[in-house]
Amino acid sequence: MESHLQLASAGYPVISFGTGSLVRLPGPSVKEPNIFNFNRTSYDQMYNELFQKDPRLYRANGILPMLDRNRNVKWGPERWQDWKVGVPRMTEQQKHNRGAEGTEGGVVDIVITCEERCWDSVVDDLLNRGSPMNRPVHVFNVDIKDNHEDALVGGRAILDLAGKLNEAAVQEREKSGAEMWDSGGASRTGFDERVPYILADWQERWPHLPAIWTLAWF
Amino acid sequence: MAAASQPPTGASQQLAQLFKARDIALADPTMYSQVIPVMVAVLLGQPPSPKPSQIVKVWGADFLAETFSSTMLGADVKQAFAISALPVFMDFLTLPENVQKTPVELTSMTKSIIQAVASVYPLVFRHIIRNPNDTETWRLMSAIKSNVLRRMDTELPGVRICCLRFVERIVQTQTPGVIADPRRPDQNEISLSLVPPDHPLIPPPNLEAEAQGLLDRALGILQEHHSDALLVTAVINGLGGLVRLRATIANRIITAILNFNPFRLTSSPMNTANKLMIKSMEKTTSIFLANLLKWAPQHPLAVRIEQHIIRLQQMRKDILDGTLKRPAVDEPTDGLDNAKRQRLGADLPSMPPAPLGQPQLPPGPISYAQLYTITNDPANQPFDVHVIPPELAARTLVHLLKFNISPDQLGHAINTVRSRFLSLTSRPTVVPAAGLPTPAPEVDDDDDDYEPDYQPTEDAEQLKNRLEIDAPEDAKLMKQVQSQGTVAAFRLPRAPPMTNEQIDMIALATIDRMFYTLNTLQASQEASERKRGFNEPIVRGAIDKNAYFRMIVRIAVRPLAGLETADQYRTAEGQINNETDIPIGDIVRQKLLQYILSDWNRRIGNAVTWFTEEWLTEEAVWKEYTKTLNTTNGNGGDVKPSPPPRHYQKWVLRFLEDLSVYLGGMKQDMKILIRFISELPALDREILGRVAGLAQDPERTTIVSNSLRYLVQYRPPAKELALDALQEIWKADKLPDGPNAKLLKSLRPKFMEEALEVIPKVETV
Repeated sequence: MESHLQLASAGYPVISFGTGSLVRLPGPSVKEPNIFNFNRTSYDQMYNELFQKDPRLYRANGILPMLDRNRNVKWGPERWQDWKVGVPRMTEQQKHNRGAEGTEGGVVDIVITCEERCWDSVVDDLLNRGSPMNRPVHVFNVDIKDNHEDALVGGRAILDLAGKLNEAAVQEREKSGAEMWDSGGASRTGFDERVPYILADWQERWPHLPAIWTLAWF
Repeated sequence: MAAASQPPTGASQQLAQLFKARDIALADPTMYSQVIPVMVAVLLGQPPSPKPSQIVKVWGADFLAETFSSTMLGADVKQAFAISALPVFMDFLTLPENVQKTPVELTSMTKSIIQAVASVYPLVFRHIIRNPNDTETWRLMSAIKSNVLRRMDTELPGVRICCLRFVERIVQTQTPGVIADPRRPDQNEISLSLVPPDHPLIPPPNLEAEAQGLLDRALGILQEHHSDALLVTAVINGLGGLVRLRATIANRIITAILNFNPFRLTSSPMNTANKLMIKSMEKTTSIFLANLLKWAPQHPLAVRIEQHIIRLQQMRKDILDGTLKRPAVDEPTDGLDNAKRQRLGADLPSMPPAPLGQPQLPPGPISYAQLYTITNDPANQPFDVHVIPPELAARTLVHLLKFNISPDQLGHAINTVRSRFLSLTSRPTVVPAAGLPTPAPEVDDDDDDYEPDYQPTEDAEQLKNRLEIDAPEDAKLMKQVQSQGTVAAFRLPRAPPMTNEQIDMIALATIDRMFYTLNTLQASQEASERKRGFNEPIVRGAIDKNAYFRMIVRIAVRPLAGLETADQYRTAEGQINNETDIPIGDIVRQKLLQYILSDWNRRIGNAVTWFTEEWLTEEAVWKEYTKTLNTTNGNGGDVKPSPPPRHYQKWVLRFLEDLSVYLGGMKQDMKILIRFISELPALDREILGRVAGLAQDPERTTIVSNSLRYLVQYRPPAKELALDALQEIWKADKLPDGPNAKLLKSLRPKFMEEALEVIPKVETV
């Protein structure tokens, strides 16, 4: 969600998902997590519920501030496996999410996960779907430890990656303009083939966040 | 729409209108029927629209790709528009004259158009199946198809991946699929199976041959372009649907993936980009194979796939993490190093003959093995030549003597043995112990060069007996024994009593063998049909897998029934240190559990058999127990016997818990769950509680609810319990109008009234 916020603030269209079966937040002990359903519970409901349970505990462990941030970013957590790719995102609830502008078509060009097992789930799920849309999607993983500090750093790194990818995509697009028809162009390569090299450059700048990538299909 | 009615002046103005039209269609899919014809007209530049500018064309290509892949439009609607859009595709794909390859400025548009073509192809195919006379449409589609296929090898990789996806789509369309329901042709997946054999435009054999050829080209990418991670991952990720839906080509795909080596790039310099690409290709391959295993765990290639995944992971670890990376060799590796395997035909530096070891012979009688041993290496001394098959030994020996042993060395070795033999013969003859026959050195037996050096512990009589058995043809020895005339009746020494550990070990081994036999039976009878009634194998006295399974269950359940007490189990569970401390019945039960779960889809019937036996035995034991309890009460003063243990509930709960790891939310999972809980001989609150607990995974809520509602309807004794469980599930989501709510409203009206009253209160807080 930190990355969602940072990407949306930078003006990129963003949708964010979880890949587990339930939303699990730390509870009073390791064995008693707070469990919520995906797609049906809003961050606001979660915030209120935990606030009523034990405001001191959940403020101290950072859960309440996190939920507060999240409820200002989007309505509630969505689950990747339940996402119907290509179904327009035009409801009022979806339009109010940060970074909703540009996601109306219900598809994305890039998927970034923050944990290797999430990347595995996403690639596996896309295989299960059988690529009905024939639309390529670059799936990245950037390994970020799940805590507040690393999330901030990781968010910046993801923003950097998105920036470089976007730059390459814009270059490819701009060549399509009529005014570019006759120009030879310095780099005669398209966007997709540059992706692994862009990621490799990025990896050299962020060596502590091991990355991985594949080209999958929606 | 507006775009058509009022021709715009500038491209940007036109674009703004197109954006608006798209938004309208996205918000209301029914509007597509008005938007698409207008869009096609604009993109073809039909009057009154002006000729589209490049920007408009790029935008239009994106729009077409999005529209034809949209899940919001029905296949029939898309099919109708697809035919009308074919001229646009052809127009956009046609390159300017004298241009062989898409210019970079057109890549983006070309990619989108090829994506749209891939989406449209099956739809046009179905149109042609239904309209065999529409030659014009098929001609246009074929022209588009060959245009795209031509680009497959020459374009920029970004375009090539789209072409490859198109190829995979063609293969999926032009190979036979499964007709799910012949009565509802609209629901069927588009495949070659739908084409009548005498179709004039698309004769199935030609199309299938084309598909096979194209599949080869796509899979060829894995071999030819193994270094291009973009192409490789695009091909692999696109095969997910194909390998599942097309049984005829699945094996070819799997074999190609198994033969693909993602580590070939390691030969080039290991910079960050290469490392990343290797890792990405390896992970993609692993996930593809793991996904396949999840889908078809019984696949004939499953074992190979599993091994391949492990190997890939290991290789990645070795190569990329550098854990086992060897440093570069310092010495020249020209094959001339004597410690290495040597290159044939190379000039080897001459080497002094290795000094032969001459271990001192121990005093006293020695064996032939000792006599011929000419090495000091203690690791080589006890080597038993019997393990080398004679034919192999003969071939190796000839080769060794001819090429590898210098005559000097051989002569030296022979002389060593000769001198030893001479010194031995000059030693005073050792008188053997009474009755202990010396192996005759004159008998030149091949086996003689191996003589285990041990002191026999048997007595003389037994030794003679053994000699009789071992060497009945040895006339000399026979004579010797007969001449002594002391052959007595042979007595086998009494074996020492077995220890408890030995008994347990043998019992465990027997259990393992029973399951092995069961698996063999399972494999051999997999195909045969199950016969019922008087023909059932068990009635005829034959053993089949079901009868054998029941036997194993009874071995687990019955032998100790009535003998064991609950206390024993309590202590046993409290202090289990190793496997042997677990009661034997529980070990078998554990194995039964594993056996069923290893193929739970098909073995759920076995689970029912098991639990029925378990319940039956438990009932019988408890009946007996209550009877004894009553009699002891009558006598008074007697110590009450300890109650027998309860296995049934414990193992049903355990089974459900383990099953929860595997159970999904699909229809077949539901069938299995319903069958299981409806056939269980006894249900109680805890079991149903555990069943309801399965619904904690939201994927399974529907199937668990359905199963419980089935119990309410068809198993009256469990009705109230099932309703209680249903209540619990309903409480989790509180959907006021689901099927659970309906049932509860009619059967538990009071509870529902109270619950539904509470909900609004919560919301207002």
